[in-house]
Amino acid sequence: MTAQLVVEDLRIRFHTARRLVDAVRGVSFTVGREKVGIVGESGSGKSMTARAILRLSPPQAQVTAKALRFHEVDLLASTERQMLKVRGRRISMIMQDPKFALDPVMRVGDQIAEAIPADRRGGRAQDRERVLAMLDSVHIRDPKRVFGLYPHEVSGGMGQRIMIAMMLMPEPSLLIADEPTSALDVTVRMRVLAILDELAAQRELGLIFISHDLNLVASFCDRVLIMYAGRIVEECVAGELARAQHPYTRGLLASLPRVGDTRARLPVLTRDPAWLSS
Amino acid sequence: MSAQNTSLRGWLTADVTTSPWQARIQRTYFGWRRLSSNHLTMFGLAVLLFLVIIALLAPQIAPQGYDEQSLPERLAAPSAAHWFGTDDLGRDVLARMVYGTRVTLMIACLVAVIAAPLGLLIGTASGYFGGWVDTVLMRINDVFLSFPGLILALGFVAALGPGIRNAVIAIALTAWPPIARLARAETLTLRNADYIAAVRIQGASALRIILRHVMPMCLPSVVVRITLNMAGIIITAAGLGFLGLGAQPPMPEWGSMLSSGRAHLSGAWWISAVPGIAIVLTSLAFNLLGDGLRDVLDPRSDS
Amino acid sequence: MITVKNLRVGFGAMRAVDDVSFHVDAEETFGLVGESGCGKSTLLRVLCGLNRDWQGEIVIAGEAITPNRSRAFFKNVQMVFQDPYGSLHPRHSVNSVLREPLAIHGMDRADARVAEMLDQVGLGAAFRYRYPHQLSGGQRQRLAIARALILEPKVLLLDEPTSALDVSVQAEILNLLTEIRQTRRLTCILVSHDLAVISYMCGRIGVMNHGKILEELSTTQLTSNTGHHRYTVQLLTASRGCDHALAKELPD
Repeated sequence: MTAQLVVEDLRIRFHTARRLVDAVRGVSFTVGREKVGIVGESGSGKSMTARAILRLSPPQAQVTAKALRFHEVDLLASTERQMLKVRGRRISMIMQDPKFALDPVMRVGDQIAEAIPADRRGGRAQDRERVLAMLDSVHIRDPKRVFGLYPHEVSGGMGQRIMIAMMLMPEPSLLIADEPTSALDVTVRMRVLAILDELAAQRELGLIFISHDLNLVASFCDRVLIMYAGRIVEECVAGELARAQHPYTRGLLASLPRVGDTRARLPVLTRDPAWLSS
Repeated sequence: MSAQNTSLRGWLTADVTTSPWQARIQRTYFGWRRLSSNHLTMFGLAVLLFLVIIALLAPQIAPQGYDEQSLPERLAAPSAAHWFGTDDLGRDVLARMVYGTRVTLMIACLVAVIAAPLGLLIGTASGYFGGWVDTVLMRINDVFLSFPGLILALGFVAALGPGIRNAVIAIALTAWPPIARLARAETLTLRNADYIAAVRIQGASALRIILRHVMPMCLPSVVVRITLNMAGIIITAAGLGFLGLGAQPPMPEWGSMLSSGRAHLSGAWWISAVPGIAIVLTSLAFNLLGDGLRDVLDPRSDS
Repeated sequence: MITVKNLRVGFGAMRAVDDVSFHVDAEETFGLVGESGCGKSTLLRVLCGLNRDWQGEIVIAGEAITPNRSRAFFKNVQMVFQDPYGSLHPRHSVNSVLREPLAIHGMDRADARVAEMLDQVGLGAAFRYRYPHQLSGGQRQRLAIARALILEPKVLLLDEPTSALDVSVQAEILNLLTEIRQTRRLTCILVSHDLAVISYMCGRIGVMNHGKILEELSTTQLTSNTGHHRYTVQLLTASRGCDHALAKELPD
């Protein structure tokens, strides 16, 4: 599989009021037309990495890399104008909470229609048809009714599906999902993931799935990258999580309770300072 | 000496605190460091400290008494003998300014000391209890709020009689409503916080919750608000003085000094200009301090 | 120890808790699992005395409970909240947080009790005068647990105690809770949306949805995965990770 996205030695540093923070310290990976999961806890640098791909890092962040390439576009060297052609068009991003990502004063249908790139717009009626088709593809049962709703009138799961619809309108080839299901209930989560899975297969999308839930990512994605303190400490094929090598991954897996768990105490992950420099 | 310094600094920045006092002093120290990094705020603070020192040392600093009249010297321009000139009764303007600092600062402090606790208490009670308590208190609040400050103060002074004490009461009565509104708004957001729920299920009484949990969170906004309102308070006091309803002659109050210079504006401009500039500068200083305090005291930020 | 009969919160179609009945034995840990909006948190808030608009019967430790609780009640029943960042007063030090309940109930040896409690939850004396913003999420939750336990209650209610914590910290807190409930012989009700946490910590589980308890089962019954209410099966399968086949069956 040829890589769509190539990241090599990505480093992100911040100058905060008190000290220098190395949020990401030499991360390298590639993404083809496959589902790649990035798993880590808060502070591991996973969201920073995702945002850096779209050049959406905070202004005080210094982003450097040996290579940060999407197809033929050099993401690091591109100007803002060139990035505008990539962001939301060729690479889309889904955020965690649809409540905050959708415009509360605009109808859902109109928002999705807005996502159609200007050069591909037809007339109003034609755009409406495209939006309805999109809503249908995310398995929303009554697309015509949902088209006219406002974001506060839809449930969490539906809101997330609307976000997915909106982000897929411009027909990107890479989708970045930053904790897309963390705010959703467990059963709703399954539904949304199934839809993502279906769409990714249909459209041959690359997908970067960022989460803190190791088991979820491992069951959904093809490959899993585990991040700790700004570095990728392990890379696994999804089904083979049990064969993970790195003590952090093993420690994390062991510390999770399971249904039917009979252990008297859960092993607590002890952080080895050596992991910071491995 | 340096060994002593390091141990003091060490105590102030120690990670492990061994007593409640050390923890509190550390917080104050860090707050002070943040405050002092803001230069405009420091300027405001410096001006205020300067005024406080002048007020305290007034008898020593003033070249003469504030009510020593010298009619042959009336309306004299600023000179070496009288740095700010003399007024229409030959009194030294500088001396009157110096003593006037006492009056102005006293009015400002007394009003703050009365209005802030009053507003805080009413606002937090109103916000916490809700229901009819809230309705009654807020309607009273609305009555006071609906009058422009100076007009209301005028009304009170007219009823109570002129004089500094009544002027202070009058201004305080106009200054508490916005504080109460602010405290109420803060209380309403805090009321549903988990930490309030946690202390409720310990069996805490409403009084304890309001005093120990709600008020400390409202206090920073109230302090900032009252500091920013100082400018208005001083100007209201000056306004009352201007209308002859505040400090009575011969007491030197900046507003009444401003007023007495009205008739001589074209000729002896210094009689009004000097107190006028002083009022502006003091208000500015309070505003700058209030702005800086707001940045530091916001409870939602980390130390 | 705890008996709830026909508990109702809310009216008509908007019932947060709809005719719920269950029973918890002494020293047992009962779990309530369900998704957001199922009423589990409302139920806890009714039990601990925060919510007074309810109808039904509640008996705790042999005493019938009324909407207005006595101070003695609060000594017996305590709660740990979900959000460690919101359940501690930002301006109160650790020492202050722990002394307050003691002061409210006039308990003696305050100093010694605070020191003991800090040790028992794994925070040492070094933390005594710190403020919440100087503590990590796990440390704050330990403090919240200490605060709940310092009154020596017999019943501990836990509202999603580890949901807001990092996964690696979750194990520590769960271990602490396991240890504490054993040494203090506590009766606990644990509420969570995470079936794995609930089945690990609890002996018996109630599955809630739309304000009703659909089914009560023991943990062993849960793992056998047969004969359950359809919703329970959905929860079980969903909690195991992404199952594509299941996902397609789920209603909108």
